[in-house]
Amino acid sequence: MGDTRGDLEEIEVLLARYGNRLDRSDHSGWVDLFTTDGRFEVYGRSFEGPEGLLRMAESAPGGLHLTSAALIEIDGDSATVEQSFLFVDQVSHESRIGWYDDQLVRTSEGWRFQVRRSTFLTPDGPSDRP
Amino acid sequence: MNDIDLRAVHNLLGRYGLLLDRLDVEEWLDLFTDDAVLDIDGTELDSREKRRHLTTTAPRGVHVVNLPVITGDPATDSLSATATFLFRSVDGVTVRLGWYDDRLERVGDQWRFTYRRISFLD
Repeated sequence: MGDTRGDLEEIEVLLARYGNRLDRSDHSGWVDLFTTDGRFEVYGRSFEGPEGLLRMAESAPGGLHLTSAALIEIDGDSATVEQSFLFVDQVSHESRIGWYDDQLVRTSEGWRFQVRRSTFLTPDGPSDRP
Repeated sequence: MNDIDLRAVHNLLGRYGLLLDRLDVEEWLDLFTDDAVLDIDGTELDSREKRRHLTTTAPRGVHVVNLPVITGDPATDSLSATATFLFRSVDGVTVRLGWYDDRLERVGDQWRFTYRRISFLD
């Protein structure tokens, strides 16, 4: 199955929409980027399913997500992604840095996150919280 | 550019920052050809050992790299790429802005840096 440029482009759009929708407070649109059993791991917690994800999005601090060129490995109907990020808080302008580790799956509606895990890079090393 | 080349070049450019951020040093060194030059604003690191030394002295942080402009014909086994970047150190003290100018070479079914110049916007 489709190790094609179309897959690569679609996955890059998915990655771009992640930050874009969160930054614009399009919370339900952001939840739609995950599978119905998808989860987001951050702050040592796992936010699962549409309700859990929506709760996370609505409580997340406002700001801007800047993401780097992604490392994408496609294997049939699944893919893994690694991508560094820098988040700038809307109010304090303080920033956090780290990377995402993702598992994506191809659904009938296109590529979706099954798991996205945030790792923060802190002065003490990589951590699941900033 | 065909799908395989496009994927390989995107992955190469992505790996440069990611592997440095994660301090996967040997994997990062493998991104360069044996005779590659990493030119850091005029300081040329022209061996694997010199580039390895850089990873022990450079501040730790995260690289955020913009979408690249890739030019050339992969049929020649050589491509050029350029992209802007932002680096933020882990302690938040250092933020550097700049751009990469790259020459890439096909080695087997992989693409490698044969030259990367880092220019800082200071």
